Amino acid sequence: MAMDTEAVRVQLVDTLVADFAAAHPLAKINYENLRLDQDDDNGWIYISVIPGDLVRRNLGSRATSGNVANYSQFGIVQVQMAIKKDGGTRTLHQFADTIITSLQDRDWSISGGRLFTSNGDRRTRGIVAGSFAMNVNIEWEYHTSLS
Amino acid sequence: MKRLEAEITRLEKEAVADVKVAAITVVKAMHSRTPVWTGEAVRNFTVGIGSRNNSKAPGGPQPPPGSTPKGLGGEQNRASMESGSLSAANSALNKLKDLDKNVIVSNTVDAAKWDLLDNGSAPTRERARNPGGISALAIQGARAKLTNWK
Repeated sequence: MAMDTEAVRVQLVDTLVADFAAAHPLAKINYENLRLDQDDDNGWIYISVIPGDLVRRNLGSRATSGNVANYSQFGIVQVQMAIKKDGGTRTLHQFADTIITSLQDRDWSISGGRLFTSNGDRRTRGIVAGSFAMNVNIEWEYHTSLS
Repeated sequence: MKRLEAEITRLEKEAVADVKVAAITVVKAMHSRTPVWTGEAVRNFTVGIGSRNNSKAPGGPQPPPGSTPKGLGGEQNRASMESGSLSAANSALNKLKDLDKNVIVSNTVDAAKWDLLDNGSAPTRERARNPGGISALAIQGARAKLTNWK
């Protein structure tokens, strides 16, 4: 069960993109490795999967599996959303509802371990660079090992 | 009875010391996620006892013209600005003598700057120096470290 962070990204992005595209077919979906294409009329989202701290799990029976130490890789999915400033509050809240419903409090068995999500955080940012903007952060935790 | 009271006092002191360690862990986690140019944002993480600490400090010198911002960790002004922030935080925490007050970690840079930094949009969305922002990942990391602390 070697660590496979790419499996984390694939699971999170594929799940979100499938749910989001079905609910909002006109909205533009952008990814962190592609140039941002801002469609102001229909709104857009920008998905980043960002690993944070990798922590050895030291508590009791969860610390090891046999002779192998267990780790938790933490991170967040950050989804930036924007739409033209004269409207769109309702649209961005609908985007956020879809994202949170798709990703929060999920649990998957993936390559290298188990992936959990929690703690959706919705931030209304107001007008940023001429667009009405909102962000959603979803925390994830990947239980894995280094061998 | 005296031994019991002494033991309670010892436990209270230990708990206060633990709160101080927790607060510094949070501040350091915030520092680690904050990009530095002049260092104003890193310098202005403050710790307040019982209420928000609204003190403001200036950033460091502007890096030379044409300097390219480095990745998180290697910036010119980081060490001095982090040091100033930690020194102020430790001074504030030295006033914490018992557990009757909350410890509040905040940042006193302008709201517009904080918005860009904490949402991973500084200097721009596509060229963010700290994708993911500051607080979400910092709090998550600090929580994980403190959970596995003792």
